[in-house]
Amino acid sequence: MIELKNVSKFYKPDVSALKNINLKIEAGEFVSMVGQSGTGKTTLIKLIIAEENPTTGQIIVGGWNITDIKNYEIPYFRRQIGVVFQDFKLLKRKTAFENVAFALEVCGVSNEKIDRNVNQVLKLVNLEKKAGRYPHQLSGGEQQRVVIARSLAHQPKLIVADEPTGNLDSLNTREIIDLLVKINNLGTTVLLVTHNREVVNSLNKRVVSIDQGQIISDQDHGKYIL
Amino acid sequence: MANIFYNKKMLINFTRIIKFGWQNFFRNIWLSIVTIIIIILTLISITGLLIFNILTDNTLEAIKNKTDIYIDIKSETTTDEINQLVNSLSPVPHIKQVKYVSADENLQIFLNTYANNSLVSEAVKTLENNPFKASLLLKVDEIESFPIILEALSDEKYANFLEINSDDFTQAKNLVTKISEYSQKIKKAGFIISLFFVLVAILIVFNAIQISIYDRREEISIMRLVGAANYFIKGPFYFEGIIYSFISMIILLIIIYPLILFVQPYLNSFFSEYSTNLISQVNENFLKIFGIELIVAITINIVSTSIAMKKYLRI
Repeated sequence: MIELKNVSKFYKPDVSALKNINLKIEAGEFVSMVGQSGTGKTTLIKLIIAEENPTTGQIIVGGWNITDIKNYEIPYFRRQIGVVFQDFKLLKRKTAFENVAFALEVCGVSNEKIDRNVNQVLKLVNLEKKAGRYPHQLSGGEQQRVVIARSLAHQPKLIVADEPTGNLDSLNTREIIDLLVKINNLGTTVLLVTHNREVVNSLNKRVVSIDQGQIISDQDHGKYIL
Repeated sequence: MANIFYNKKMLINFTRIIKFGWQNFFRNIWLSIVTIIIIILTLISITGLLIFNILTDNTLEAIKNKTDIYIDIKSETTTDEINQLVNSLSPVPHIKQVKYVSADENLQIFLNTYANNSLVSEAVKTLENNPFKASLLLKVDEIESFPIILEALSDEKYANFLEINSDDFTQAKNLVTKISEYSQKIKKAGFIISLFFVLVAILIVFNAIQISIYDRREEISIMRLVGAANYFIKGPFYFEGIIYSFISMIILLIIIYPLILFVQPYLNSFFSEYSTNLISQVNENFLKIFGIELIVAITINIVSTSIAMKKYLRI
């Protein structure tokens, strides 16, 4: 699903964000990526979602070689992946349903299909009864579930979640992680970036640890080691 | 089948781009109104320039066509000599027609011209004799031929019977030159004013689109995240610019005719006999004038929208 070969990223003039990263994530895996702030996790996510290009190396995601992806190809590539950020990025003037529908609306999906898909994903995240509520009428955890529903709207093969529980309390954190596990069980690959020790340790799944722009450990049933 | 699916998708995208464009327009309605007013002012200044072009061209054409020239005949000339003169002048190159006008006819023409001016007609009536002489009316093909004809008339066989005043020939030509000079100056000033308005309009539209982009920054970042095509993200802003163009054009069409009716009396008094009916002139040149306006309006919007998007959209 994701393959990084000798990937490095430098920012001018001589700041090195990632150094010689080699990583392979198979389809259907649930991988936690851990590391302290400023170690290069977010840079790595930006490279995986084609927000930035690597300075050297090769990146393949879902069969796309995105190393030198053309500008016009990026939108079509992005429809293959779902992205969840720490800041919820929901539109305040739209309801939960409309926020999820927006992701499909802007990609030319027909109204009938939007209705069908949105209801389906809202059901998956247990928000079908709150579909008509605006973000300010939802709790933090519910808002993040709307974001996850939106990332699932295109039925992607890969979900990239960058600190999705960063702004949540432990109860809501548990809910979101359970939801990601549920999505993974349905066959979607999940790449979770976090520095929440409890979450990583409770998952008992593959853990990739990054420090100073380099992978320092990669364990199939790992723990938070930093 | 794939083609039908593609067309359907394009249609869906197109209708949504229009929907988002309208949302942009109404979201900052006061800014949209100000933008439209500036575009209308730009278009009015350009319309003024275009109409002025038509007006001066028409006036110059009218003056150039008004190539009648009266030459007084010396009082001692006999009727036979006059007839001979008329016959010999007719074949002269550039002279289309030669007509004898008696002194009485000249007096009548003068009185008719000043029919509304009682002071002039009273003054003439107090004179015992007719102050006018008989003359020859020469109809010339074009004003440019005046010097050639003047040279021909200076020949002895004509000059002995005619009181040639070279001013008669140069006055009309000078008038044309003067009008051309003035109209060139006014056109230049009009062009600079229009250019100024075009630049202001570009800045205002740029500002409006910039604010629209700022207002939609969250939506834009989500659109990029979820894979909206670049044309779909840019489309609503272009459409917003097109809305500005079309609404400005429609308002221009509504206000331009009353504006012309308002200006017409002033033009009549300024251009007097050379004045022209502006409404019919505008109607005759409708496509030319408003075609240019529409192209200008759309260009202003596309240029400023493109600059604003290049600067702030970053896609």
